[in-house]
Amino acid sequence: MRGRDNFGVAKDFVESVHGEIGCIACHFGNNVDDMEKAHEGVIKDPSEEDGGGVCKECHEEITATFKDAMHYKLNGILDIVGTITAPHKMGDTLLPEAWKLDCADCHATCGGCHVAWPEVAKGGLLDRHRFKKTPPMEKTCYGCHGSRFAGEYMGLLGATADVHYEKGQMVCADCHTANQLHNTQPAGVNRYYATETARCEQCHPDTKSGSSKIAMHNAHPEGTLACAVCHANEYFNCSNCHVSLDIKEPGKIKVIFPSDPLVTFKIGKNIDISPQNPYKYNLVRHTPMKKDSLASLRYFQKVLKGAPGPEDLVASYDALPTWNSASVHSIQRKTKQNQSCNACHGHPELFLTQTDLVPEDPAANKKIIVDRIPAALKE
Amino acid sequence: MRKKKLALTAITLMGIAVTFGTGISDAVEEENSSSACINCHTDLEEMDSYGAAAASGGAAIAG
Repeated sequence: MRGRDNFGVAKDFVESVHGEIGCIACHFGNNVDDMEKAHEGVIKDPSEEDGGGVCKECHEEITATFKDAMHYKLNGILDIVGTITAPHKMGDTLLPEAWKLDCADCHATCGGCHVAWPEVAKGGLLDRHRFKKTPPMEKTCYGCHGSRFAGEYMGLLGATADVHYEKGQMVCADCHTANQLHNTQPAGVNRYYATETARCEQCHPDTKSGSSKIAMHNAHPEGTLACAVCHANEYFNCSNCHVSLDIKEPGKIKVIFPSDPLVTFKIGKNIDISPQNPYKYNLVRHTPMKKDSLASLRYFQKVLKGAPGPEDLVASYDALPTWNSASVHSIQRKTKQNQSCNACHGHPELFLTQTDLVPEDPAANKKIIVDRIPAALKE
Repeated sequence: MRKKKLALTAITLMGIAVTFGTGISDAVEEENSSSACINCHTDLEEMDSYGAAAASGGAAIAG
C-alpha cells in the first residue's frame, strides 16, 4: 500500500534542499534503530505552531502573515459561531471540545498543504515527503472545500462542470494565489468575500458593463449582478443539521453530519457588500444550520461535564442568515437563465423569495429575499 | 635539544586535540544525523507493509 497510508520517503527527497536539513531537525525523535525509541517525542506536523513552526526559519516572510490568515486561524468560522451563540461564553459550553474534535480539522498548516494530506482528510504524505510548491488541489484544497466546491467544479454533482476546469484545465491556485492564501487582505476580515481574491474581471476585462460587446452585460448597470448570477448552473446546498455528536464507546465522541442535500439556484440580495463583492444581487446558498443543530452538545455536556450546557446555546440564531452569499464554481458561458432576457426575467423560481423561507428560518433571512422579481420583457 | 622537546610536545598535544576533536564532532554529527530515520523510511517495501498493518490496526507506534 502506497501513498497516504504510509510514511515512505523518497531518496530524492532526502537529497533535496528540505531533506538535507535532516528528519530530526524538524520532526524531533531519536536517531536510533529501535522504532519505539526513535519515535519518542516525534512531532508529526512541525509546521503547525504559530503559523509556520520550523518553516519560519527559512520562510519568515510567508509565515509572518500566514499566522493571521483565514486558512490558518479559521476566524471566519469562529466569528460565525461566536455570533450565533452570543452572549454565551465558549468556556461555558461544549463548543471548544467540538471545535477541537472536528471544526478545527480544516485548520491549514504549511505541511498540511505542501507535504501531506490535510488532517481533515486523515493526513499521510502526498508524494513520499516531496514538497509541492503548488499543492495538488484534489488532495489538499478538496479535503476541506469538498462537495460544495470540488464537486461543483469537477461536475460530480449532477450539473455541468465549471468551464474553467472542463475547458481551461485550471486548478484552484490559478485563481486563488499563494499570496492571497498566505496573506489574507485586508487584515482582520472574517468573511472570505471581503478578502482580496480572484476577480472575473482580471481575466475577462471586456465584460464590464457599458463597454462590453455583449448586450446583456451592458443592459445591467455595473454593480448590479454578480457574474455568477448569469453564468452559474444549479448548485449544491445543505438544508439542515450541521453537526451532531455521537458517543458509541465511552470517551470516544464521533461527529456526524446528517444533512440532507438540496440542489437549487437562487438569486438573493447581497448583504455582504464589500469592495471585493460590490454587487446588489448575487447567488445565495443555504448553509447547514437549524436552531436545534447544536442541541446534542447540550446533552453531551451533561454526560461529559456533569451538567447540561445552556438551553439556548444558539441564543442569537436570528442574527445571521442561513442563505449566504455563494461563490458558485459551476460556471458556464451559456446557462439556462442567460439564454434570453426572459429566461430570467419573469421567473420567480430563480429568486429567493418569501416562499423559500420556512418558519424556523432565522429572521436575518428576510434581508436576503428579493422584493421585486424583474418582470418579463416585451419581446 | 630543549627546543626539539618543546616542538615534539606541541605536536603531540596538537595530535591529541585533533583526534579527540574529530571524535567529538563525529559523535555530535551522529547525534544530529537522521540516518536511522532515513534507513527505515526510505525502505519503501517495508513502509508499505507497515502502512497496511497500521491501516488494519495491527501496528502501534510510540510518540
